[in-house]
Amino acid sequence: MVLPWWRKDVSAVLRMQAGLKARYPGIEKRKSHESLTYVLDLEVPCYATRRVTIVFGARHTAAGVRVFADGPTRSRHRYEDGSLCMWHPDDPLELKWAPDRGLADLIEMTRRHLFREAYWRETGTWLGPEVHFDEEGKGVDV
Amino acid sequence: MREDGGLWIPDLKNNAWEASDPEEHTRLVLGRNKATKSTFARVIRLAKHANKRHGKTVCSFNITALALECLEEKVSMQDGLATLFRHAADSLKDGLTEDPAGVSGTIGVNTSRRKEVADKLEKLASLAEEAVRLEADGQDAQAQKAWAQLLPDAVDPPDDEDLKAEYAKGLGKSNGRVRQGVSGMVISEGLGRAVSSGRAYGGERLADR
Repeated sequence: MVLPWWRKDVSAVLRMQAGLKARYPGIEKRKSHESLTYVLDLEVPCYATRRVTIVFGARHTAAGVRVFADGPTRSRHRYEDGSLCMWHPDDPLELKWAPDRGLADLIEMTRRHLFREAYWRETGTWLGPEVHFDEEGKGVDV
Repeated sequence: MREDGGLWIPDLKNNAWEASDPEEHTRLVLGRNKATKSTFARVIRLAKHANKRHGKTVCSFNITALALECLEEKVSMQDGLATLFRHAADSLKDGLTEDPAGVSGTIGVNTSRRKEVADKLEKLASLAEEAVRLEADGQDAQAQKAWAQLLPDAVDPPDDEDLKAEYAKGLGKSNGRVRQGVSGMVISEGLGRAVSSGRAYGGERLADR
């Protein structure tokens, strides 16, 4: 049986969680054979607070984390399973989240993304950098 | 009356006498208030309100004593609050505050651990400093948000539409100025912590990543 990354590298999990409870006192952690999950209520400035679920799946690397939020799902930037598309997986490291930056960093990326989604639903304008694919499958900045 | 100045005040709770010099305290406060053209009294009134609304970890007199140590000339209310809370946080990290009249020794705090008080004051200082900086950067709605967090009921939160417009302006350009401040998400060059960048994506999830 192949162990998931969070069982193989406990110190990486501890580093990733550094300062988490102090900054997000209500955050809950759940662990099973299939996933390592964090759940918290996240204030989105000017919009409703959203319940955010961060899921590390046993079959994925830590960088393959899925982030879900309750509430409206209509968005320019979500995957089919409803998880948030906050970065392009093939982008260089400086343009995406990595576990050594900590969960707090991922949570703040999520807050920023949820603000942009809510603003887009309201105005039709997406704020900030985004990428889509053209007909040839090439990434295009929009 | 005490032989070397001040008074003996009965401490009924502990069945003892405590040295104090209320007349000297009054003289010091009046003198400082005059020297600061009344901003001293206004700043400590707001600081006492913030202290009360954030757990009252120090007594009101402790706020006055700390203000006597750091507010010596006329300042704006905003700068005065930031100066006072920064001094309070740093000072309580080092030790308890001395009686400004030099009669009754140090002033006790309302928790069992001084570090807890210093941590709380550190947060208030950081909030005030962030609000001052945001105001200087022209981020008025975010500054008001920070002031409202520091001084609930004394300062109203900003209008949501004003705050939204300010965020939209900052978020529209890039991710570089979107940071995590003490008061929450802030648009700033250097306040708080940086947040990783990323280009929002809209396609299929690629393989097992």
